[in-house]
Amino acid sequence: MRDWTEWVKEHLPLDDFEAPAARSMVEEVASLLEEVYRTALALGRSPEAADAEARAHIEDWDQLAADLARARGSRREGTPHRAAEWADERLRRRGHPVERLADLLLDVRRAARSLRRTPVFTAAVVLLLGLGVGANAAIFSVLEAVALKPLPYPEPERVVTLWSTTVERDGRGPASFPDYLDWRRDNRSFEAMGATQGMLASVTEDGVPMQVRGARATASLFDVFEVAPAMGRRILPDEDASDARVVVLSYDLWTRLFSRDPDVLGKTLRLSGEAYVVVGVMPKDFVVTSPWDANDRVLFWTPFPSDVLTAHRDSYSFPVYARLRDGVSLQAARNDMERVALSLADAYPATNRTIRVTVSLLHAVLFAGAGGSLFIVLGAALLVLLIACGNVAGLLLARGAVRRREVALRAALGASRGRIIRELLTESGLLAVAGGAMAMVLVVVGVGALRGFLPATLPRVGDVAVDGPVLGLAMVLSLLTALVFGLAPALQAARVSHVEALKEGSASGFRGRRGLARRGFVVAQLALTLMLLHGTVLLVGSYVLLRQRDQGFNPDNVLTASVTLAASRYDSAEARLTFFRDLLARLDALPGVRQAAAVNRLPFEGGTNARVIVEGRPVPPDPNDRPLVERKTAVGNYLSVMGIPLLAGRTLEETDASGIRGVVINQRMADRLWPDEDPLGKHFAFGAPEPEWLTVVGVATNVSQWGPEWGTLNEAYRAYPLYPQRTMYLALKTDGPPARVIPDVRRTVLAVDPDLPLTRIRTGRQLVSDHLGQREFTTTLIGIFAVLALVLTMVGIYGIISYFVAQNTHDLGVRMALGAGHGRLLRYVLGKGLVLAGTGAGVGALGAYWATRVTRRLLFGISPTSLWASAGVVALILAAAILATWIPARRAARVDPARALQAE
Amino acid sequence: MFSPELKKGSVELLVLTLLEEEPRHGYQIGKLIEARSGGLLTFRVSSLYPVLARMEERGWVRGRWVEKGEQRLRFYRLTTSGERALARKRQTWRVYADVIDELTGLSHA
Repeated sequence: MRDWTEWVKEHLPLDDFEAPAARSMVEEVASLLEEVYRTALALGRSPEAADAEARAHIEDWDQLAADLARARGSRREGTPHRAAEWADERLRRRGHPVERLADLLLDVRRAARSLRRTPVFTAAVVLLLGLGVGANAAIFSVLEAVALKPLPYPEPERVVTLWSTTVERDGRGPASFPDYLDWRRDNRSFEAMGATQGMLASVTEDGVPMQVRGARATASLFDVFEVAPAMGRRILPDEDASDARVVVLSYDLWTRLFSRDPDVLGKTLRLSGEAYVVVGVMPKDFVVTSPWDANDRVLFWTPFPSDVLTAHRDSYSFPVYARLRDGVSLQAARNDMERVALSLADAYPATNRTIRVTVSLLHAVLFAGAGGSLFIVLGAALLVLLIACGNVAGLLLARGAVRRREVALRAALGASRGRIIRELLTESGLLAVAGGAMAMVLVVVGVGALRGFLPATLPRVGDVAVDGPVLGLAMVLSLLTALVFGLAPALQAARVSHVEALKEGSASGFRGRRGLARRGFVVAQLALTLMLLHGTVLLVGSYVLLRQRDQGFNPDNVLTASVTLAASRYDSAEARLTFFRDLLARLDALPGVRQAAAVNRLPFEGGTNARVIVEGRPVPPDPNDRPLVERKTAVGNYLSVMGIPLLAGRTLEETDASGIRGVVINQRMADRLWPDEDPLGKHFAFGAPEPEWLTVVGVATNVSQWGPEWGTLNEAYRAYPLYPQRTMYLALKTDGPPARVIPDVRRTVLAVDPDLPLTRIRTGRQLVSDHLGQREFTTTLIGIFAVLALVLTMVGIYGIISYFVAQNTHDLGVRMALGAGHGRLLRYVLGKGLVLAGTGAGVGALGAYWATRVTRRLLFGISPTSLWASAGVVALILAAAILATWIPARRAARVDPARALQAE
Repeated sequence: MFSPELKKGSVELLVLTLLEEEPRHGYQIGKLIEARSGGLLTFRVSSLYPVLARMEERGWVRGRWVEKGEQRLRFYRLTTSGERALARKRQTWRVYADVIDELTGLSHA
């Protein structure tokens, strides 16, 4: 007989045979094998056969060693056991890495199979994840391009703008040049500070005159942005206020006018007819825009002329930019500038007594407005994602409940908890990947659709695109969502005691912890949907009110366009007037044009204002106490072209440029300045020292000057020679669609001045939609999300009530058998839905009330706590809940008691 | 006959049941199961012995070497905690069997 102990020692891979535990193991295995051998002999086998039979009892020595090691370690789980580690290592080496991969593939295949068996569930989860995540990623890519992307300068978070403001800080505006010089000299916070002044110039591009935006700039402005020119040089300090005729081109203008000519330095560029020498070209990614409009790029820079040094301290038209010193906070800079402003107020009380300084991050100035509404849209998208997650979690929990027994069986058959969790999570992972892929497709489609529908006034709207990080974000968000919402059901399924799960009869999905979780999800969905609907109702209400609001003019059949006369060519008021008279006469004669006029500012486009004094009344010593009036000037019958009704008196005539100096004022100004008197014939004047009295000859309807959402301001229309602005808007009343006359208008303008470009050509309707565009966009998107949320929530309610009915068929059957009629049963199930809806609506109402703090600033003419809106939304939610409950409730009411009882 | 997975879930129960009757040694246990199941359930040393070792480690059974002629055999007897474990396992198995019956339609309703 073989020495079984030796044989075992030879094969059993133990690290230390002398350890007492190992010796005992070897001995016992050997004794067992010997017993097998002896028994076989006793049964009449040959020694060889008996030996073979005994040896066949050990199939896999490695496995045996691992099993033994684990058995010995089983009492103290978690404590390292040398033999176990060693044996495991051997197994791992044997299985690694192919078997591990195979394991994973097996898991994935099993999960895919299981998902394929329930196509409706799988499609629902993938669709929900895709919609929720895709909507968020699409909105986020817009938000990123428009508001989050940093400005293209080194350390952009240090670039700020400085504004003049008042003690009350109501509004802010550009600085005066003397103030800028003092700010620059006296501050301790900024590394560099530069002033600019926007200018429009006409240039000739391919033989066609074009208007381009440029800026006068101090040499220090380039230190603020810290960008070196790509070619040549920047403006030099000794060119400041020097009348040097040099120009630095943006890459854009270099491309457009010089086709990226490498020898452009030293060449001449004619700006509004005057020759400038090109001294530099800025790099491609260097973008500076108007501080009021991030889409309005500055295309060239020239030095300030010498007369800027004689600019008045109360002439505010110089935007100022600065770069914070390293380590200086925005707040510290604000405190510093407060100190500077106070010392200037002491030094120049006449002009600066009430002037203070506002320091703002340039990024915030440019993008905070649009970013704010986009953040609210993103918030709405997030609510939709949460609601979709609620549905996904509900579906997973329901699936978990259905599979509870399956999981329990598998656990009883030896599958470990870790293994089961891994499988369930593999399923969630697969769903997440599919959902993420769906979301990516939706992002690409969605951003494409959004680009066609984004308002043109949105900053950097041209940069909106799908990028890699956003797609990555979609996938990560989807994975996170599915794993977080898949983990809870997985853990719950795996934690369940098998016995309990197996003992349980047909479980009611409505009671117990799991039922509570599902009801919680539905209540949360209802609450979130109510919040979203409430916001939507308020926004849509605001939009409708704005649309219906009488803006004071008729935008139908109106064409507008801007012209800026070259200062060199039109250096007198007469020259400008002659030009406009000539042009308007020719435009009047065009077929399709009923009437033509010109005005310095169109409605909604802002304006310039000044303080006035009224004849016969004491002049307040402090100019701030004098009424502020918007200054308008017009050529031709502007009021008639724009359909602005005249309420009293007459319209302007050519003779109003001299003599009595007639003006037309708006209703508001009449009410404010002459509340109980007839304003006609009254006198007032802009500027105090030598008042040039104006006579009110007419009163016109109020027109919203600063945008549809603003109130009206005092306004006075003067004859053109009294306020001869170089930049004017042409306004034409047409017979038919205004766009049709554009080519004729363009030709007519060129016939009068072949160098004059026509810009900002818009119809009256476009003028209105330009100013409602962002609101329209925000309202539409949030509206879409709200409808989506409502549908998802209805599906959620429908799901849980259907589940309840299905799980409680027996119970319902008993009730019916005990005499409950159809109506009673219907009411019973409807009641279940209504309790959910009521709870959700209650929680949602609180949430909606809180959310009005965010949406308040987007509202117009409607109170954020409007009772009508709140009551309407709650009614809508309850109606939706009843509708979603109705179908399963009717099914419940039709339960056949006999069959229901049999089913158990 | 039966798959290893199926046996894995029941082997502890079977071993404990046999040891409840009287102390037995390892191979005897395997043989008894084989005999009483009419040869349908068989165990190899490599799968039976780790089960015994595990149960001993948990304190459900206690082993003792016994000289029997020229052979040394290790006998196992049930401990008090082993009796409790057996009771639990019996209960679980009963429920399990019922459920399997119900699910597979083997029982008579």
